[in-house]
Amino acid sequence: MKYSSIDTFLNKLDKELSYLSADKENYIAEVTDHLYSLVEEKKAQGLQEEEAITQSLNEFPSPKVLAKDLVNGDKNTFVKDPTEEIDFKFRYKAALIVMGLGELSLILVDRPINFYWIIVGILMLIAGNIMVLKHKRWNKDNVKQLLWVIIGIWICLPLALFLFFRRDDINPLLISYMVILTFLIVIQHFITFKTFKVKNHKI
Amino acid sequence: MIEIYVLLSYIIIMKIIKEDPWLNQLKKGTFELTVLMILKKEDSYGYEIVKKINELPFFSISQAAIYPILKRLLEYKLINFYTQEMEGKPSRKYYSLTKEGELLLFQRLSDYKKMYDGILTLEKEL
Repeated sequence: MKYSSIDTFLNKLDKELSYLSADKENYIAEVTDHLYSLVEEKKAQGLQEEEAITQSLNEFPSPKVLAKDLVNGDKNTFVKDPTEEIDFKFRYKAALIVMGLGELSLILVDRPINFYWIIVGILMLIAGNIMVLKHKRWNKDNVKQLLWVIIGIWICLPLALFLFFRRDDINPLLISYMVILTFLIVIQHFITFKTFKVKNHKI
Repeated sequence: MIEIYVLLSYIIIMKIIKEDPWLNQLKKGTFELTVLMILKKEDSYGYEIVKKINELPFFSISQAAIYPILKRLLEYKLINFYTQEMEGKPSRKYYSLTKEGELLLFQRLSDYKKMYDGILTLEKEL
């Protein structure tokens, strides 16, 4: 019984614990047993092996955080959840989504609207979504950030409407742009909301 | 307009979170006691302890969060561990309750009951 992605995770954990001499093997053996038992449980529930492994690994923090916790424990709160570690990389990725939509809204200040800025906004939006959806090790901080993304998304709509109605050159093209932007905001809300629900449930 | 959206966002977020910070703090404060009680019943290992805690109503703990708790209990010598070889599987680290752990468990349970009785007494006066 060998699972390659679990082995990769354990190898990373092994590296993180490399400075330890006595207890390292103990820690690795314990986490190995835990992960294998979790995978077996998920398989018994009817999940395919790959899915069972992915879900099991997602329920653990990154090897770096896990190593830190295994060695140091938690001196202050005793029951601190190691998955709460702030993940700045993810925050930048999530911010791209709001920045993309914000940029698409702020474009309405331009007279006439600059087509190249629209491309930039859409690229930011797509890149943000890809990076967030492909994010692998979800923790509580990541999920919390999705809530801020949802707030950010909805702030873009009144901003866009405000800038739209301030214009005195409203034409069918501009109305189409506003309709598409509203549609994008709603779609983005549903994508982020669904991701939030799935990841929040897992964590 | 913007106030409506802020309010709407707040309502959505509160519905999604469904978390009561007070209840979370209460749960966290009793994890130590829960682990000791599980080990009082029988020796157990990380995965099984997490599973048992998560089967309890109101309690939930993420997979790896058990290890800092176990480590702390080991440091306080409230629990002990031994390794058992498993056939065709990785060896398993079992935790057991020490005499000190058992004494502390009864003490904490007694304190907890006193606290609970105190709250019930107040409730009856309502």
